[in-house]
This record gives sequence, structure tokens and C-alpha cells, in this order.
Amino acid sequence: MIDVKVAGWVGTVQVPDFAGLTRYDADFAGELRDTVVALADDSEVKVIVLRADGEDFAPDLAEVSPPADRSATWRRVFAGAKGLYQSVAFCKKVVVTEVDGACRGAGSALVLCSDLTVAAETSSFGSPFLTTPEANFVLAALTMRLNRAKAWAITGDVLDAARAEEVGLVNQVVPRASLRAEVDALADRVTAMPLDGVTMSKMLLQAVLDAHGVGRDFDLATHYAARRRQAEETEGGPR
Amino acid sequence: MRPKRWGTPDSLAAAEQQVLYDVDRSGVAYITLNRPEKHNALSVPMRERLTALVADADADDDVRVVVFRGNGKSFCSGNEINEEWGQRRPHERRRTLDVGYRYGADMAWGRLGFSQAISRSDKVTIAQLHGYCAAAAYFMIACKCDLVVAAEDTRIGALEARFLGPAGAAASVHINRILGMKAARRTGYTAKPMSGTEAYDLGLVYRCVPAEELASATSRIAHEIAVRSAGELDFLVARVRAAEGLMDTSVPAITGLLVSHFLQPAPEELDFWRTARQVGVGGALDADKARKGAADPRSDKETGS
Repeated sequence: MIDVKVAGWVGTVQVPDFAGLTRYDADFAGELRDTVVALADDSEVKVIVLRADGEDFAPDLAEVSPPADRSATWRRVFAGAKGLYQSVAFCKKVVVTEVDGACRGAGSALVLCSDLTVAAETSSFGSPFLTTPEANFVLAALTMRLNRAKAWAITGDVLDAARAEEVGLVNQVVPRASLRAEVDALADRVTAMPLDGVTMSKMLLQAVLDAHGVGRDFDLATHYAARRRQAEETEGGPR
Repeated sequence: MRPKRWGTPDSLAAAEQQVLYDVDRSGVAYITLNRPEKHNALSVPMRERLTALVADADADDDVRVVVFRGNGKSFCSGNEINEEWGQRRPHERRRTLDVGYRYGADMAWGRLGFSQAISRSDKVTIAQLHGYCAAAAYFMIACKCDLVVAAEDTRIGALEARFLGPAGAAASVHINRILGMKAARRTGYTAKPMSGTEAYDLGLVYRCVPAEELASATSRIAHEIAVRSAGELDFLVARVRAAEGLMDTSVPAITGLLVSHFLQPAPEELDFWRTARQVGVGGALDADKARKGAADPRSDKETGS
């Protein structure tokens, strides 16, 4: 299910899509987390590309809830310090997300955790904060600025590719036909950087992210998931 | 024992009609500033009524969204600076630390102040801006709301920095997060207002529309949010409030204002107050547009002190 290639300092992780994260597929998320960590540890890798080869990066799912028991598995695989999202956000190599089609739920959480994002003109981005309580709002505020992140979370607006580029959620929007080539070109630019420089920059970035509250927001994921569950149980709650 | 109510008998009596409150059948509450002859400048009793009304909205399960808006030419020109609470002149309030603290912190930016009631509200908050959105209206209402809907020609900014010395806008965490550092500093260090369009480009404004469409656009957005499920909105607001707490964007980090209360008035500040006393704060802001640069404090001209 997860295809991994390493060539020319680039580790490419290819999956059909990332919807498995939105539906809390722990096996998928665990394997993806392990893959990212293994590539980060690989001294032949400077940049990790997360790529979906289906039509959508992470399609919308109608019925999704966080695990009812906020289980140890959920904390370990998704929300905890060694979970997938923190493994990407605090990765010691540069992480690039390549987005086409719908990017919803956990897909957007993954985009927020990645360093660089290239999107096809046909892509669109939904807020992850309702479906994915472990998504990091501080990263959204740092990426898009505070009020845009608040509006994205509260209104349920879906941002088309052009708007996503305007607000800074993605670095580059390209025609669908050239998406893969543009991502490869961007990855190549990163591979031209010195390996130690890349790793040291990522190390320094961790302190900056934590100073802004990124780590603290991750730490509260269990609280957010519990609150989300409570909201579902409220009369008239979501779905 | 009850806390003292600050304000003159007139301002205390007027506050109820100067800040109106109603809730429609869809769960949208409207807090309407209604002091159009003063561009809706906020007296202390008006600010305390704002705090009380936000608390009412928070306690009302039928309310999903709170819209802040203003009657007349402007949304709001900021805090009333001609206010007298027993002092003959506004700057005399600076003579005592306890009164300065009470005015600057408890009634404005501090944890007991009205801006904190807005930034910590349990409801989705929307500011509807037109005309002037200046000074406290900018950084204590508009920048504390979740969404801002503005007319294209709104004049938004820390216009008080022109007269009152340090501007809270440059030193506050939330405005730096909303606008970015350079734009936040520009609003504080130049007092140059942003148009609604520019504020949209910078990220403060969610929707920018022609003035004649402002009320309908705001209403549409408020009602689209209000029809979402209560549980969903409760969660999303709580989620955002928690992260704002982590980022310190809801804290009263506007120390510049505290400093401003202990400054000696500059000549141009007194000029501004003299004009404001005659024609209101909005009129004084209008008059200032005709001036060229700051007054030279070494000038020999009569300062009027």
C-alpha cells in the first residue's frame, strides 16, 4: 500500500491517497509514520516527498469520528509525540506534500505539518479541525495568519488552489499535468543543499515552532478529541 | 459591597441606549453601537455594557453568533477621550496610578476589560465595519472577533497613535499574528489607516464588500454559521480559543496603552482634544486629515496648555 523509493537524495512515499488517516486506519498511519522516520534517519535522504497517485490527495469522508476511547493506539500512532503528525512536523529532513484533487480532513493536517507544498490547479483544501482534533491549529495560524485560520476552521470554507496560494497554505500552484515534474524539480532544489545544513535548519526550526506553541497544541490533542466526542453526543451535534 | 460604577450621571444613564442588543430567531445576536453623533466613541459605561452583553450572549444557548456593528457614519472611532469622571481634563486621570490602572486595564485591555470578553466569548464573533474603525475599535473589537466583514472604504487602524503616543497595535501579540509583523508595525508607527480592501489582503478581513452590501453580506455569513449544529460550533470555538490561549493572542498584551496613560500631553495631543471637544472624536480625526506631518514640539507657537 505504501510504496517507497530512494533516489538522488529524495525519498518518495507514494500511496493511493491519505484518506486512511482521516478514517483512523492505525495500520496505515503507523506504517506511514515508520516510513517517514526511517527516511529521516537515512543519511542518503535530504527530502521526503509525500505523494498520492489517486485522483484526490485525501477525499472527504462522510462518517468519521476520532476513536471513541482515545486509545493508547490513537495516541501512539496519530496524536502523541511519536505519532505521525509530530513525526512529520518535527522531521529532521525537509518534507514536501504533493496535492491534487480534494485535500480534506487529515490530508490538510498533513499539509500543515509539511515544510513545502505544491498543489495542482485542480486541488482544494478543507479545514481539518472538525474531523481531526489532533490537527495543529497553531501551525495553521503561523502558515495562513491568525484570522484566516480562524475563518477556515469556523466557516467550513473550502479553499481552491488559487486562494490556498494567496493565503500561504501552499508554496506553488501548477497545472495538473506538470504537478509531478514540478514537485521533482522542487525536491531537486532541496537536494542541492548541504545535508548537515538541512538537518541543522530543521533542528533549529523545532525550537521556533515550540516557542510559538506548536508543541503545546499537539500536547492538547487528547483534550480536543474528548471535547469533539462530547460535541457529537450533544443534541444536534455534528453528523 | 458593590464595585463603583465609573462614569458621569449622563454617560451612565445614556449607555443602555448607546449599546443596543437584540437576538433574531436564527440565533444571531446583534450588539449595535448607537452613538452616531460621536462616531460611536465608547464611553466607560458603554464599554461595561459591552462586557455585560457579551456575557448575556455567552449564557444564552439560543445564540450561536454575535455581530458587532455601529449605527451612523462609522463603526466606532475608539474609546471616548473627552470623558470626565470627576476630572476636569482627560489627562488628569494619569495623576493617580489606581485610576490609571482602572481605566487602562479594567476598562480597556486588561483581563476585566471588554476586549477580553470578546476574545474569550463562547460564541462565534463577527465585526461589521464601515466608516472609521479606529483605535480601540480596531484592536479591541475588530481584531478580537473571529471574522471581520468590512466595507471596501472602511478606514481601519491605530489612528490614536497620532495623538496618544505609544500604539497598542504594534505591541500586541494578536495583531502581529493577524497582519504579520511589518504591517502591524506600520499601523502602530505611522497611524496610517488600512482600507477594507487592504485589510482583506493582509488577512484581517474575511469578506470585503461595497458599503451598500455590508449589512446583507454580514447577515448572510452570520446565518450560514448559525445554522450549523450547536455541538459542531461549540467544539470549533473551544478548539480555536484553546489555541489562541497557547499562542497568547487572547491575552491583554498591550502594554503601550498603560504607558500612554502616564505620558505628558504633547501640543498636538492637546490640539486634537480641543477639536474633539468641539466636534467629537470622529470630527477631530477628519480635521487631522488636513494636517501635514506632526507638529514640531520645539515650535514657538502657542501650545494651549
